[in-house]
Amino acid sequence: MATNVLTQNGTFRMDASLASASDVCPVCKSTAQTSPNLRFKVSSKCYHRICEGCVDRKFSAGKAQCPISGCHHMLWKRDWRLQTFEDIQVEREVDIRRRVWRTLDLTNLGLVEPEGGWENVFEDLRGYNDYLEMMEEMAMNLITNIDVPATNKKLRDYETANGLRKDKDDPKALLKAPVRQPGDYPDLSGLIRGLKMKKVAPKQAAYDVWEGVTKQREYFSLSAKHESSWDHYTNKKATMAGGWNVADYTEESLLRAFSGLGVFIENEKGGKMDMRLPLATIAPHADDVF
Amino acid sequence: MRFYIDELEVLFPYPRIYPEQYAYMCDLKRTLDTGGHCVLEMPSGTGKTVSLLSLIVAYQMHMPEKRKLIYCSRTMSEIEKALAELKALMRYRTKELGYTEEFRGLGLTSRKNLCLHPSVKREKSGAVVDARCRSLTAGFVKEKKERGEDVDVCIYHDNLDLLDPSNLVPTGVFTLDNLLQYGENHKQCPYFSARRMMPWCNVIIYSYHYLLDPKIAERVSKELSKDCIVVFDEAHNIDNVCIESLSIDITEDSLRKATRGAGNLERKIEEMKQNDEQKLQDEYQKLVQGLADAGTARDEEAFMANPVLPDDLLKEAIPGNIRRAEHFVAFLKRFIEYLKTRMKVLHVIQETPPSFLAHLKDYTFIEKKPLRFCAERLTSLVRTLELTNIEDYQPLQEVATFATLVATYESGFLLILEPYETEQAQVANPILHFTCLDAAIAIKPVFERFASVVITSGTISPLDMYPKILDFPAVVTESYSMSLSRKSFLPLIVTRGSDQQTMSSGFQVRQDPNVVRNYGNLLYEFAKITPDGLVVFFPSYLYMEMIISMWQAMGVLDRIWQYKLLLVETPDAQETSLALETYRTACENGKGAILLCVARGKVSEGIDFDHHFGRTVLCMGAPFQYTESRILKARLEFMREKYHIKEQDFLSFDAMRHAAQCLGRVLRGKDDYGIMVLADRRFQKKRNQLPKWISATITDGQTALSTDAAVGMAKKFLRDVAQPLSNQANERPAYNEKDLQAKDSWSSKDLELHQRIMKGRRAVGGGDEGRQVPNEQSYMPTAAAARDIAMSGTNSVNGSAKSNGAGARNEYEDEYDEEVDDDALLAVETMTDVQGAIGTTL
Repeated sequence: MATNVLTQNGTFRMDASLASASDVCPVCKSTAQTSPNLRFKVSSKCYHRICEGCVDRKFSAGKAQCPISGCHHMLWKRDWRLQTFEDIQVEREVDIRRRVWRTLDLTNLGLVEPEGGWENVFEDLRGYNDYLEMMEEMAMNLITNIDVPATNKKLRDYETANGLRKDKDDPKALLKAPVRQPGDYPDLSGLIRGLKMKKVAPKQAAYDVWEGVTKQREYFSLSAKHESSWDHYTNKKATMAGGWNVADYTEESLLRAFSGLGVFIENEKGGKMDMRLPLATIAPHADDVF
Repeated sequence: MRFYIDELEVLFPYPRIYPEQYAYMCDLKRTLDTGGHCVLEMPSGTGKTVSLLSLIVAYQMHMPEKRKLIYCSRTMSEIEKALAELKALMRYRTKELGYTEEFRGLGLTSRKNLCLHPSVKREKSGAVVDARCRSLTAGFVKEKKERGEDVDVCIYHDNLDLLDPSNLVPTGVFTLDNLLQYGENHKQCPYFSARRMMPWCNVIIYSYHYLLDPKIAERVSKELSKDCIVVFDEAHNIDNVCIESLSIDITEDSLRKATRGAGNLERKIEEMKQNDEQKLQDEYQKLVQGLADAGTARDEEAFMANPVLPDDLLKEAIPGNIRRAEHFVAFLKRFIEYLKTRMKVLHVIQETPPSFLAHLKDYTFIEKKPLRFCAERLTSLVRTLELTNIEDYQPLQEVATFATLVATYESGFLLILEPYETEQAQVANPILHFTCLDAAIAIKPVFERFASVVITSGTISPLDMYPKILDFPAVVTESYSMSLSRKSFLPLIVTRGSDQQTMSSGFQVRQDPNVVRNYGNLLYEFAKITPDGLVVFFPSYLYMEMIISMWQAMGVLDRIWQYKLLLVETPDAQETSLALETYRTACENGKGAILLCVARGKVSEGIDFDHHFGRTVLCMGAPFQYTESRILKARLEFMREKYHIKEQDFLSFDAMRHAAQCLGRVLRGKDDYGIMVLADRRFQKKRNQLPKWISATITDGQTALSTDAAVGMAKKFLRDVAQPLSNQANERPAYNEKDLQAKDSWSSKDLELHQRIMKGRRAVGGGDEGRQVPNEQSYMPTAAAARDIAMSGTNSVNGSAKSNGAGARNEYEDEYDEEVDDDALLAVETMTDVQGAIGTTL
């Protein structure tokens, strides 16, 4: 007999761990008659099914061998869990599927599910279907024990190439996650085919505060020294202490003298924008606080 | 007779026409002209079918484009009746016109009824006949035969291939018997002849399911063109048919069988892999290409049809993870296993498809998309594997259909898991109901595809309910009353027993011995006075059983036996038909009999009690649905939210349509007569929800009666109708409107006069064809016209939604299970008494 438990947030957890009338624990031989509320646990390595009491008894002290005769799996207590499906084969199948799905999940590749579903990250629908089939193929191989080492290797390679391995036992896993270059194919291992290339955004130029206005002066050039009548002030400490700089003054004067050259009223009237207009008029979206 | 409606010449195969038939034709023509859907209610037994057929055939012959008529009815016998009417009509037309028109009319029914194969036709169950027929006629069988393998084929079917595919049967109308006969003579299969000839027919007559059930409609009705005229006759139950066609119940047993089916498939795939790998590979390649290509093989012999998949989906390829046969079977197995574990609950669960899908994905990694293609994929697989014993895969197919539906529709459906059959049950017997809540889903393709859909029945009031629940715009909604030269039926509403105690089948009082005794007395009294047959309808089997056993204990039954034989309907079809037969025999001889049946049962829907087979019909209690049912509750809630129909409105509408259906059983023509007794205080306020032709004849004096008063009136009525029926009124020549009103059928002269009057009136009214003045709403000036004005609420043109009837307006608070409001009742009574007193003193 199995019951499904309604959890607090309204969903339910399927639970097939309660013993039915004909269930007998293979270790202690207790049944639903001898001990009411008998519950079974399943090992997630070898999928043997024993009662909760036996799990506590045998595995509380640490790692131990599976008590079913002929099974040499070494198990921890944490490897025993409640059963979800009545059929133990399905239980196992779903576990395997979970692993394959988690590994081949496209979000691992840094992809985001687009508006119309995952098929849109592929070049065409065919590519998506091929991906689904490959996933199914792998899961089925693992479930029916065909080519298990080869399939596992494929998955491992995929993980390694995309930097998904976290297994501490494996020294290779310590490899750093590969650095994705902007132009790279999303799947670095090449296992999943037909993915769209990630769009590489064109490199943006640095922001120019002057919006194209150059400092180059067209009609005059400043030389190091200009002959003038106030030269004697230039090196005087008193003037310099006030922060007055003769070079700045010279430049400003020249700018004023030549500004307006090359600006023709006719052009302005024709609406043609001259790029060399003063800044304030170029920036059209200058904030108007009112 | 021949006459014209506007410019259209109609040939009517009878010498006289009823006024309501004429009005019906006028409205029908108006609908066809404008193009659109309509709801028409016409009393039973007034020749609805023949007026419909003669108008539409005339229309077809008159219009150059010859729109096809698809006439859908409910039962086999109704289909046969319609075919016979059509045949008579066409014979009459040939005689009148002097030449035979190029015309084809065919009926379609299941293989079981149309099979000629010597051994297959002997099978009793329809499913077995279907399966065996498929195993003889499927496409791959023929291929095998051509390859020289030794396989059984059906000679009747194969002969069809030798004939011209557009001329399998000659022109003319074939009833089902004719078709069988023709098939026998020419050694060709009647079923496939009819099906393949459908594109070339002018009139097709078949059952609702061929059009509504998406699983069948896809195959049978796909090729019908858009401008067809579709008629649903006896359509008062159409919303339930729609809902049933999309609902699926899954039990543990069916899941077990489905698992076995999946196992078989797996084995077959293994076998095929060894022997004929290539075939699987071909299928795989096809599926990689896309469904549309694989769909070329979606022939008439597909193993199962698929519930409505949107067209754009069909063009898509099958998702990759169920492309390979073995993957698909594993997929199915996983899904079934999930459902199995899911069934193990001890409390009721209701959830919507999206929530179910989310949970499913969490646990089994089954996504929505492959689920959606489940049915399609299974069809393809079965075809590839060339399976012949298809009936074994029925449960598996059911699961696949369920999968497809659950993944296709997000709203309008609900999953309800009920672990126990009844509240008291100790042993779990879980059922997973996948219920459709929206009747509009199944019928939507029909309304969208066809230009004119006519929904018609004898009892379809209130008329504005159907457009609402089926979600379609109606161009014309019309109800006709019955023109009668004499009062041929007497509706009575009995609310109290002889002891003045209120009678009701309401939940609180139904076990009350006084109420039960009063019902017993009522039956006893009517058994005493009714000649020949008496039919009694109860709201449910449960209630009927309870009340009968209480009557037995009270000795009521013993008293009744002095006058009549008692027969009871049971849920078992065979027992019921035996009871019916006995009942008929008893009515033919001696004192007559009483048939106790249930308002929603088989008897109430399809069996006619014409003439002496039913002189009185008694409705013991208002036939409300079992309101505690979760499915009903869910549906009510859905309708409130989506269509803004109040729960009470729907429940009372539903109860009244069934009551009306029961009442209509006894009156099957104008020369028939009968008493209709509605015995429940709740009918008092609901009488305006009855069809117009009944409610218009209920005067205030016939309501709120006690048993004694009702018996008195019934006695008087029976004496009245016992007088010889004179036909003088009908034969006297008519000169003005008044003369016409006195007649219940018109000759062609009368009709011409009527048309002249109407034309004159229209000219005065500004030449408008419509009926602006409420008094003129009807084409027929009947004797009941005065009352019609009061009832004009039931009559709305162009969908102008008025509320139904004066009484319904102030009647929203329900009475279906509340306490009896004695004071109010009393007040009403005293009021009428006072009025009566005033009336007499004046």
